[in-house]
Amino acid sequence: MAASESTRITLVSNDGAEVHVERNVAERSMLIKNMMEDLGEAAMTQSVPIPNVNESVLKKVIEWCEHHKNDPPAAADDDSDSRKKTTDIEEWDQKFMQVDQEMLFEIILASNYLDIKPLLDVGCKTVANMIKGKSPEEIRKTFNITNDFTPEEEEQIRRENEWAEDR
Amino acid sequence: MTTTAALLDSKGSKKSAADSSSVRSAAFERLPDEIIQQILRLTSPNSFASLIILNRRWRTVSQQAYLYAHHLSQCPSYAAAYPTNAIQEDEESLPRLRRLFA
Repeated sequence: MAASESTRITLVSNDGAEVHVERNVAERSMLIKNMMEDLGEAAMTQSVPIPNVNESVLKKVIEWCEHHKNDPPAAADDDSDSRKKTTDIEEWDQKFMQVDQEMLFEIILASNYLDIKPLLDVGCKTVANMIKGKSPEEIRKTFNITNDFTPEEEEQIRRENEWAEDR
Repeated sequence: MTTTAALLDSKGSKKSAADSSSVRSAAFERLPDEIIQQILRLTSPNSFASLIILNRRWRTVSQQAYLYAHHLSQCPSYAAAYPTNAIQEDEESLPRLRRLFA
C-alpha cells in the first residue's frame, strides 16, 4: 500500500467545496477508509461527498488528520487507560481546540460522523475540561443552555441529590 | 479561570473556547446521546454531579448505572469502603447507585 501514501483524493463538503487531501490523511477517518475500500479504484477518480460536514469544519478536521497522520493506531483505547488522567490533552491538540464553541461542537459532531475516534476523544476531553469545577448554573451559562426543568422536577431532583449543593 | 487553564497556550494567551460563550451553540444541541455519555464518563465525579441536573436532556441521558458506578469508583471515600468488583452495573442497581452517589 506504499503507493497510496501520496495519492490525493477529493472530498466534497456539504456546501460544495472540494477539499484535496492525501489518501492516508483522509483515512484517519474510518468512514472514509471504509468508503475507499468499497470504492476500490473508482475512489481515485471520483470525488467523495461528505454530506454532514461543511467546508470550514472539514478543513479543520483535515488539519488534525494531517498532524496526526503518522500516529500509531490507538492501542485498545478503553477502560485500561482510565488510570491516567482522563482529561489529559497533548499540547498541539489543546491549541488546535482553541476555537469558538460552535466550531468545537462541530468538530465533535464531524469526528463522530467521520468516525475519527482519537479526535472525538480530544473534543470530549476539551468539553470535560471546560466543565470542570463548574456548578450546574455556570455550565448552563457557559454553553447557553436553558434550564427546562419544571420547579417540581427540580425540587424532586434536588431531594434525590442533596449532596450536589454542599460538595 | 481555573477551568480553562488547560486550554491556555504556552504564551499564556487567554483565548479559549469557554470565553466565546455568548452565541447560542446550535451544535451543542445536536450532540447525540453517545457523545453526551462520553462526556459524562470523561468528566470528574463533581462535574458529573453538576451535569446530571443540567437540563432534561442531560438528566435523561445520564441515568445509566454504568456511569454512576464509574463515578462512584472514582470517589475516594466510596472506593475505600467498597471493593470495585462489588459495584453492579445492571439496570436494577441504578436507584441504589444513585443513593450511594448522593
